[in-house]
Amino acid sequence: MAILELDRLTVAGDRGDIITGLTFSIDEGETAVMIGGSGSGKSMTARAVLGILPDGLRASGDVRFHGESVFHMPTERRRTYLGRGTGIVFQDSFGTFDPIRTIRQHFTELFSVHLGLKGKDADRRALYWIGRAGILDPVRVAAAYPHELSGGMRQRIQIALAASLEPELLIADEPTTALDLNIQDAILELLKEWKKETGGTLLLITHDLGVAREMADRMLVMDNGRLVEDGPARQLFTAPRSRAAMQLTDDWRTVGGAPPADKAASPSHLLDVSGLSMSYRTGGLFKKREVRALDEVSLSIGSGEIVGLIGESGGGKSTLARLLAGIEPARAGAISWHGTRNWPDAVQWVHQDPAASFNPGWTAGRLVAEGLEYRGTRRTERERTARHLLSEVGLPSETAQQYPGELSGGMNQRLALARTLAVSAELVVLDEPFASLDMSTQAKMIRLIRSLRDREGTAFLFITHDIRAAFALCSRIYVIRQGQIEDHGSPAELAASENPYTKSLLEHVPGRGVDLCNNGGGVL
Amino acid sequence: MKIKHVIFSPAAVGLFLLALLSAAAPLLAGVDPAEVRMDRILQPPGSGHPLGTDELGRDVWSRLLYGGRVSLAVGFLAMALSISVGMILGTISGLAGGFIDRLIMRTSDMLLSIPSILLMIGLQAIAPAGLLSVILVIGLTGWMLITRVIRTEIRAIRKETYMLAAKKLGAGPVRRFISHLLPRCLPSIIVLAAGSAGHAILAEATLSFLGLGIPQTIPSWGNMLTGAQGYLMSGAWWLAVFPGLCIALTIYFIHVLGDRLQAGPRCPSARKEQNPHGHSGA
Amino acid sequence: MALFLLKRVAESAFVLVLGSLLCFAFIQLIPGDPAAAMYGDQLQKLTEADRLRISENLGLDEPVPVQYIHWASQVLQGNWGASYLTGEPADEVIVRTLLPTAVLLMASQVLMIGLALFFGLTSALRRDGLYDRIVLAASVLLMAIPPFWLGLMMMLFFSIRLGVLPSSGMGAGPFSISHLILPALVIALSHAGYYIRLFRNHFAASSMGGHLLALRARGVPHRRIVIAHILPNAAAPLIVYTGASLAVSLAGSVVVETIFSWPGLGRLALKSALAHDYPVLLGIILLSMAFVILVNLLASLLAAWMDPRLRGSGAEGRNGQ
Repeated sequence: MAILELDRLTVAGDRGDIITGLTFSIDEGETAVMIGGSGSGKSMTARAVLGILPDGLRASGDVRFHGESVFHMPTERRRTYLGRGTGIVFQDSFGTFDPIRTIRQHFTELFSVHLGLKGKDADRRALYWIGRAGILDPVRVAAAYPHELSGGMRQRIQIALAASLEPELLIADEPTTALDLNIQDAILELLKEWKKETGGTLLLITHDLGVAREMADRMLVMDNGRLVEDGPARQLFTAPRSRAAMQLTDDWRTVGGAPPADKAASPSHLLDVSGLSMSYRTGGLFKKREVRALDEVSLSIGSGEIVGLIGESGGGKSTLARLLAGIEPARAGAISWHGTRNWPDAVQWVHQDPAASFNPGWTAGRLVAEGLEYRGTRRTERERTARHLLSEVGLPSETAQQYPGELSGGMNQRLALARTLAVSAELVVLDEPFASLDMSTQAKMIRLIRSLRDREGTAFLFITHDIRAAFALCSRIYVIRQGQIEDHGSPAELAASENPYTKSLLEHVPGRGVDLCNNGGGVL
Repeated sequence: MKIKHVIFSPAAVGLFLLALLSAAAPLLAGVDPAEVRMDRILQPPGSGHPLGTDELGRDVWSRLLYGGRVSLAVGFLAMALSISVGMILGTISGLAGGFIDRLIMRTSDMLLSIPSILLMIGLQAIAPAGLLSVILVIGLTGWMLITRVIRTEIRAIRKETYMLAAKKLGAGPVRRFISHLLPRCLPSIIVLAAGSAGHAILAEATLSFLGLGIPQTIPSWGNMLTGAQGYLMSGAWWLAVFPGLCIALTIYFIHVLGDRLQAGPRCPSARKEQNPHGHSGA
Repeated sequence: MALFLLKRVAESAFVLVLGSLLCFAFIQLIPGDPAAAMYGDQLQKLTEADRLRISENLGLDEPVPVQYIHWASQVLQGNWGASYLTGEPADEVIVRTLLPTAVLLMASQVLMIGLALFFGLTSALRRDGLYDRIVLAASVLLMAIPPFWLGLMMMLFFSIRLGVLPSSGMGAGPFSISHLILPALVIALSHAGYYIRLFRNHFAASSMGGHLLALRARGVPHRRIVIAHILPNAAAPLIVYTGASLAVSLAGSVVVETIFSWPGLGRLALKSALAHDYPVLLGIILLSMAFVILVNLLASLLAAWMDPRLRGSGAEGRNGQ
C-alpha cells in the first residue's frame, strides 16, 4: 500500500525545470533512499513534497499522501499532514533551530500547535522525547539554546522533534552530512531504531552511497532533476542500468577503494616533525585553562608522497595543519624541512572552505597567480602561468574571468590547488578538503590529487575525518586522537590494526558490513 | 550593475544639475543676491522676480543659486572631513585593538550620546562665527558612525581566511593592506560618504536656520529660512518653500544615489548564499 | 549574564566619565575665565572676598586634574552655576523644562516606533513587492525632508491654511493634545523614514532564517511564525535601535520646540546657546548625555535578556558528544 505517490511532479523556476516529471511511490514501512549528486534535485523533491518550495518556483503534477492530493489540501488538513503525517530532519546546521528559543520550547510549540498540549504535560512529553533520542541528561539539554549544542546533539534533537508527533513518514534530508563518522553512525542507528519501533516509512536523501547501502530497501537515483533508476538496493550494485547509477558506483569505488600501489616508496625525507606540542589558553576572566591541542607529535612525509592524517573533530588535526603551514608557531618541538630548519614557502595549505580563502573581489585568473603577484612577477607572465595551471587542474579557461562566488565547491577546491602549484609548492596540506563535496566530486578530486602527484611530484598531507577517503588516497596514514598520534601505517596495515581506536573508527564507516556488493569497497 | 548605471541614474543626473546651476550662478542669477531694495520687499513670485523677493527686497532666485554654492560646498567639505577622520580613526581602531581601540570606540559612543544638534550648538557657542567653523563643527561631529563601520569592516576582513592565505602566499603587511583591506572597504566608504554628505547639508541648513550657522551676509539655503517662519504667518510662503525644496531635493538625490551604490558596482556576490538544507537546490 | 551586566555597566560609566571630561574641556575653552563662565555678569556684583571664595571653590589655582575633580563633585552635588540670563541656579531653570520635553518625546517616540513597526513589518513580509517599494521610496523621501522645514510646511498647511491646529505654545499645559499633535508628528515623521527602513531590513533578515522553513515544514501556522519567531528574533537589535533613537528625537526636539514655541529643554538649549548662557547649556548637555547613556544601557540589557546570543557566553555550556 503506497503511503506517498509522486505523479509527474515537475518543479519549474525562471531558468527552466529543476525537477522534471518525477513519478514514483513509496510503500508503507519501506526505507527508500534517494541518491544523487549536488544539484540533482533531491532536496527540492523533499521541499516539493512538503509544499515549502522557495519563492519563484512552481510545482506541477501531483503529490499524494494516502491517496490524497497534497497540493489541494485545505489549510487545516495540510497542517496535520505536515506535523503528524510527515516528519522532516534537515542537514545539521544552526539554521534549523530558532536561535532565541530553548530546545524545550521547540518541542512545546509543536505540541501546542498539533496536539493542543500545554504546560506541564507538554514539558513532560518534551523531556521524554529528548531522552528517547539517546540523550543522557534530557533536563539540561532541554534548557539549552541551539548554539550550545554540538552538531551530533542537534541532529538527535531534530530526529526527536520529528518523531515526537509520531508521523507515519519520516523524511531525512542529508541527516548525516558534515558530521564525524562515529556520529553519523549513531544518527543512522537512531533512524533504524525509530523504524523498528514504529514500523514507519523512511525517505532518506543522501549523496553518500555508503549511507545508502547501509539503510536502503530501495534506491531512487536522481540525476539532473530526473529519476533515472528506481529499484531494490542490491540491484544498483549488481546490475546498474542507468549511466548515472554506473557513475555513482564507480565513484563509490574510487572513494572507497584502495590507492594504486606507489611507485617505489620514496625514501627522501621532505618534512620531519618531532615532539611537536601546542596548547591554547581558554576560559573567561577568572578560570583560565590550558588545553593541550597537540602532545609530542612526530611524523614524517617523503617527497611526492600522499600521507593521511585522520581523527575526529577536536582531535588536533586542524592545529597540526596550521602549524605545518606555518600559520602559527609551535610551543615545543621541531619541524625540519629537507633536513634543515629553514621555514619553506614550499609548504602550502588548502583551507577546508576554499572559497573563504579567496578574496571575493578577485577573479579566478588573478587568484591562481596570487603568490606570483606578491613576488613581483610581471603581469603577462602571471597570466600565462594562470592559464597553464587552470588547465592543469581541469578547469576550463573561461574560469579565469569568473569570481570565486560564481564557482561550485569542487571548482573552488581545484582553484585553491592551482594556487599552491603556482608558487611551486612541494608539500600541500589539505585541511578537510572533502567536507562539503558530494561523492562524485570527491571521486574526481581524488583522481586529480593523484595525477598532480604523478605529474608534478607534489607531496600531500591529507587531513580528514573521513577514513574512507584517506584509505582511497593515501599511501601512509597517521591516526590522531586527543593531540597524540595513536596509530600509523599503510591502509592495509591499519585495516588489520589491533589498536582499539583505529578499530572503532573503521567500525563507523557507513555501509560497512552490509554485503551488497562484493567488488566495491577495496580494503574496507 | 555597472558603474555607468550609477552615474547615469536620475538621482546622479539631478544632483549634477543642482551643482551645475549653483556653479553657473553668476550667469543665471541676473540680479546681485546681496542687492537690498527696500521698495520691493516681499514680492510674490513672478513680477520680474521669478521666485519673489525677501524681507529686504533681495531676489530669492538669485539667492537660491548663490546659496546652493555655499550649502553644497559646506556639505561636501564637512563630509570630506568626517570621512577622513572616520577612516583614520576606524583603521587605527580596527588594526590596533586593545586599549586604543576601546578608547576610540568609547569616545565615539560618548559623542553619539550627546544629541547631535546639542553637540553642534555647544561647539558653535564657543567657536567664532563664520563659514570655516561651521564646516569644522559639522565635520568633526559626524565621524562616529563612519569610524564604527570602518572598524567593524577592518576587523571582519582581518579575520577572513583569505588574509591568512595571502600571508601564507608571501604578502607582507603593507601589501595585505593595499591589496586586500583597502579595496574591500571602498564600497562601504563610498556609501558612507553619500550618507555623510546628506547629513552635512542637513546640519548646515539646521544650524543656519537656528541662527547658529552661516552668517546672514552669505546666502545659504539654510539661512534663507531663518526669518521665513515669521513671514509665513503673513502669507509670504515662497520664502520658506523654495530653499526647503532645494535642500530636500538634494538630500533625496544623495540618499537614492547612496542606495544605488550600496546595491551597486561591486564584484558578484561576495560568497554564494549557503543553502542550509542540503546539497542540491536551484 | 552577570558578567555581561557588569561589563556593560562599567562600559557606560567609562563613557560617562569621557563625556564629563569633554564638558570640562568645554569650560576651559569658553572665552574668558572659568569663574566668569560659571557666574557670568553676577560676578561683577560680588565683592572681592566672594570672588576669591568662588575661585577657591572652583580650585582655579590647583592643577587641572584637581580642578576637574572639584568640578565633577560640584556637578554631582547639583551645583551647576547660575544662569547668566536670569541669575537663577541653572538646574532649576532646566528642571522646569523637563516635563514638557518628556511629554513631547514620549508622544513622538510612540508615534515613530509605531510607524516603523507597522510599515517595517508589513513591507518586510511583502519583500520586493510593489507595496515594499512604495514604502521604501516614501521613507527615503521622509529622510530627505529637513525637520524644521517639515515643521514649517505642516504649520503652513494645518495652522495657516486650514486653521485646525494651533501653531505655537502648549496651551493649558503639556497634555493639551491639540498643541502636542504638530510638534510630536514633526519629530516622529522626520525620523520615521530612517527607522522604517531599518526595521524593515531587520524584519526581512529575520524572516529569511532557515528555521522558518523548518517550522513551515512542521506545520506551524504562518501567523504563529510571524508572531512567535520573526518578531522576537528581530526584537533584540530593534530594542537597541529604539534606545539609540532617543538621542535622535532629543536632537529633533531642539528644532521643533523652537519652531512651535514648546517650552521645553530643546528650546532652552538653543536660547542659552544664542545668549552664551554657558552654565545652562552645559547643564543641558550633561543631563541629556547621562540620560541617553542610561537609556542605551537599559536597552542593551533588555536586548541581552531577550536574545541569549548577545550575552557573550556562547562558548560556555557547549557539550560535545
